[in-house]
Amino acid sequence: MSNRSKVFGVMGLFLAVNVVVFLVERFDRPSPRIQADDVDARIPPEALPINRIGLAGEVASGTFTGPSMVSLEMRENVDFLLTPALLVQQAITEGAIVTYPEE
Amino acid sequence: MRRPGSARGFLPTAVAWWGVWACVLTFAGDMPSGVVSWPTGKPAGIVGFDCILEEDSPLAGARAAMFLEYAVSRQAIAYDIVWAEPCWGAIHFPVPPTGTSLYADDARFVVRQALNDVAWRHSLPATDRGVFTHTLGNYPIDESRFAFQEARARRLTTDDIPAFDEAAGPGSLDALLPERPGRRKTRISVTTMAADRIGFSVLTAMPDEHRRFEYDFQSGRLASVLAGVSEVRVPVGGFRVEAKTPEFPDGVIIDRLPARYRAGGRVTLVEFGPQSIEGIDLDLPSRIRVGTQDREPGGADPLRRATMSNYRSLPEMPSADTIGSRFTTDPLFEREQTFRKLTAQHWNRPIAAVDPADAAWLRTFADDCLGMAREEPRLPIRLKLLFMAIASDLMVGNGARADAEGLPAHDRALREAGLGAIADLAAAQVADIRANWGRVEGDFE
Repeated sequence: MSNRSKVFGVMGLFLAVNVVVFLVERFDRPSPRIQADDVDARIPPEALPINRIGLAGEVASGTFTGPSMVSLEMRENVDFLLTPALLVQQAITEGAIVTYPEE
Repeated sequence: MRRPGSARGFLPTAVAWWGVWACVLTFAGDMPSGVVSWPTGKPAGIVGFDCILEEDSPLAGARAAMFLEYAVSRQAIAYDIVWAEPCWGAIHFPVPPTGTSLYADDARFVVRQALNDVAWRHSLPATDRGVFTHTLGNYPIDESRFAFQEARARRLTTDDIPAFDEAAGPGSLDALLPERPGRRKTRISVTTMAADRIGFSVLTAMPDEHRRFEYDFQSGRLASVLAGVSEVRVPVGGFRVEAKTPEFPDGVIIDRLPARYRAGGRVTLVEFGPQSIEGIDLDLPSRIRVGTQDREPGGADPLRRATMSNYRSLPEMPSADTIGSRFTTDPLFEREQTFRKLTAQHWNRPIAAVDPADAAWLRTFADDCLGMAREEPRLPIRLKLLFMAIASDLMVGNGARADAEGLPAHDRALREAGLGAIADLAAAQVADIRANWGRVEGDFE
């Protein structure tokens, strides 16, 4: 086998593997619907939670509702008043991408 | 000229070229820039709109609807809370909602309660959120400057699109968003990149947050954004505490996490509709619904709901110095203040104890409010006029007219606005007040 053929062979193998990896990766993506227990397989490991139960699991199993919780609830309610304005501001600002601002 | 042995290299060569073309053709069809039209902003001057905002607070056992008018420019946002319901008792909110205004831009964050003549003024950027020391439903309204600041820092721009392209590219798992003042280190991971749908995750560190976004487009226009936050971790004394609000002996907790309900995280659905502002064609939000994992935002009973309407172009933006002046310069303002004073003085007292001069003033005021309410097209103003007419009627013993006119009109207006739960609360509050009045000694109704 000539050197040229060897090079093309390696390249072909590399590209074929690349295609396979790409296709597997492409069709293995999780459902785009948001699910509490659906930890995205594409998230790098260092970004994954230590405890994969996540907030939903903690909340579902937790019964604690201390006095501070009512204030956190108030915080969400008060901050939510900003949301409609922030959304509209994105829509009228050149160069901004409209997204949920997570007040 | 054929070189010896070249025939044996035909197969690898063919595979190589097949690979090259397969890659080129496959990836070319997946290039995000070629198929995705990101929903980007268009300059449209100053935009005003009305909003009915309904908030359910299951932990506090409270529910309220607020009627706001917003003004938004590229540089600043402002709102006035024109009215709030149910109106017969205290609303679960840091300040009396009606008469509260806000102005915020890059440099200032100002909240003013015009009816009580109180203002909170802050310079931005503010320091980061500190520890959360509030309890029992207390939360100073001016602390929403942190939320404002964080939301602005998280904003995506067209400069971020190459990072999305990179994250969506072949063999790529994620990408870093470009650094920007205020923006924490942010990784994105793309799940869908197509003409009618964009999906991605946003990951930030310290505190660690995982947010997801899914855009739906219909006929090339933005139809909805589904957003979710399901995982949050905060640094606490060198430890990472996940998904719970830690408590310490001194009562200090961290302010970042959502309040804990039966099911956690937040799922938000924002629906958009076409609007034309000064000839500029825009996709603007028409409804926002916030739920949890078991309270679907699209369901009948979300945690929070905002409905926007009456988008319009405004000639000018309120300023930090003039916010709230709409309340104090209203022709009805002085009479409203007198009404508030008399209500505080005579509420829940026997009719006989009401000063005759005050009673006469209240009778006239009730007549005027009822007359204005009949002609008033704006829902929050009509509700306010009806409230003042009903309360004045009740205080001077004219309950028959309240039953015949004011109360049914108030109830009908709320239900027509889709606020049935609030109407039920208001009706229960009035019934409770009247039942208590019945126990007060004296000639009452």
